[in-house]
Amino acid sequence: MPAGDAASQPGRGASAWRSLATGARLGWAIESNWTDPFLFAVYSVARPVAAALVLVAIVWLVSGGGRPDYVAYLVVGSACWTFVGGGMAGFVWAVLDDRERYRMLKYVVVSSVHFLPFLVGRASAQLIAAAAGFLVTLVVGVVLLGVPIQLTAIDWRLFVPVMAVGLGSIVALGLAVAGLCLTIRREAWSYPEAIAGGLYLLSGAIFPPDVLPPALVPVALALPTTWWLEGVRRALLGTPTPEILAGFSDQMVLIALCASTAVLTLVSWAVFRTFERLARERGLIDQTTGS
Amino acid sequence: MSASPYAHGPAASPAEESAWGPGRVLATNLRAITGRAYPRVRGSLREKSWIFFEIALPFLSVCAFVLVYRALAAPEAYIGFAVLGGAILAFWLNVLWAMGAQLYWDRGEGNLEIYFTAPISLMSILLGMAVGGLYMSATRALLIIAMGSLLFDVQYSVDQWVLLGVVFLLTLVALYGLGMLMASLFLFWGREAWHLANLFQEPVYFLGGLYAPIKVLGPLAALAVGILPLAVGLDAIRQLTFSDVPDIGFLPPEVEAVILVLMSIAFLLLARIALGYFERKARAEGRLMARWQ
Repeated sequence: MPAGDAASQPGRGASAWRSLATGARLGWAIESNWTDPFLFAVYSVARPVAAALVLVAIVWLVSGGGRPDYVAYLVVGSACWTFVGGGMAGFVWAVLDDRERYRMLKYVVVSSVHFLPFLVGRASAQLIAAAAGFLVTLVVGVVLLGVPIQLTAIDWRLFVPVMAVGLGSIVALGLAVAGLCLTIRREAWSYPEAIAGGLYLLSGAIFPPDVLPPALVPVALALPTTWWLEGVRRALLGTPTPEILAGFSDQMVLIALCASTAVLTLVSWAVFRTFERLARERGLIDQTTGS
Repeated sequence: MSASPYAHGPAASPAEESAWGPGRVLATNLRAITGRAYPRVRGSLREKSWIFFEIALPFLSVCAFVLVYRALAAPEAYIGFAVLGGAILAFWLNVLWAMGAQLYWDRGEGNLEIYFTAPISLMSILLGMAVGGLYMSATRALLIIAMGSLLFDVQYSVDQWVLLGVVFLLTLVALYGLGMLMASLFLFWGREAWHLANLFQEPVYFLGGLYAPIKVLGPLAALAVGILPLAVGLDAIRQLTFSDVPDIGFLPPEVEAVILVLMSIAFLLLARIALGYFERKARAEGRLMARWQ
């Protein structure tokens, strides 16, 4: 390539950023342009709010409204979980839709787009929609259910890093599942639900990890989602989860979250690259499975 | 000539060929029902990954809700509510995705135009989907009930077996009638169909009283009973299955059985009307073959 042409090419970082931004714009358009903004807003918040209310109904049934602490625990857990469901599904659907439905994945792969940042951008639209669900679920919790969250009392110094690292762990997990989906058939759409369902049980989303069978407690403590939820709860509600998690300070929660996320990110990156290579070698990128 | 309605001989004119008797129309539609149900019945045990996910996903939910009940130190009988809800969830998910959204998938795969060009009523296709889906979901629901009952030691207390059987069947008829209505509505839609099916998950779990009796919902329970066969049927089934747990029903099971009969008739009629209307509209607007919307 002539030197002048090379100089006119964007650097690798800029190119990756442009791929991410393009993916995000495309993802957002696909996610949101199927209806008018009002219905899209209703769609984005109805599921997480209803998911929280299902759990609140159980608390009402058992305690007759006598467990406001547990209602707060459930509302924050359900609100956060919209990111996990949305984030994981965003990655998997980005692969499946682009490969099977719109049949564009092969063009993305052979173009100059950086595939990994593009995929992260493509999936980020669901995280943005999940953010709306997160906020509205918390507002419903505060206004209708009396969850004690006050803007002035939020520990922002804990909330911001915990949220940022926690979302990073969800993106890492989504990336690993997306890599796996590159090599398997269309029924992979069930995978994010199954994995999110498993994490839902193990991460203390709707009950403290102490309730789990003893053999599963160490597994729960190894998951970044457990520490992320605990950190968010401490930042918003000001109190730790009783029993096991109460024995950790805020700093330890943050360190455990960062450490488990770092491990997960490294593993996820390796998993994604391995499956991406396999998919290219086996010619699976442009295959529609129609199963 | 053979008596078979499918025996084909030379006709004097196209008009004669197209003049089908009621027997031939009925037989063709019965074959359509059987033909559409067949892949679901045969396929229910064929694709191992589907079996796993169709059982594992509702069962994970059951486990989560059982542990919530345990975290709240609820009476052990309440754990049965979660197991029962997980079993009925298998039917609801089937109605939503394999009935409501099915014609949307079929359009994407190119099957829809075949249905429309075949000399059959689309209601036969929907009925076949319902029969096959019902069988498929029943196998999943039975497994979820068995696993949940064994793992969490659920004790059932049934006094009125006949009424329980009748209410269960009525619930399924009403649910699949609603599925047929949704399939008719979704015929006209593109990606909206997929998103709306998604939207009908958690809100229906809440309003349908899947994991806690609808009585807890207060005034919202009346709304649920008015529109959701899942809410009515599950409330009646729960009362009849846990007859030793007092005061959990919103209405007496006999009244809920009558509501289910009315819902079944209404949904099937509405499905037929909606199917005709949206088919005409979709044909006029050229949407029957539009893919990748």
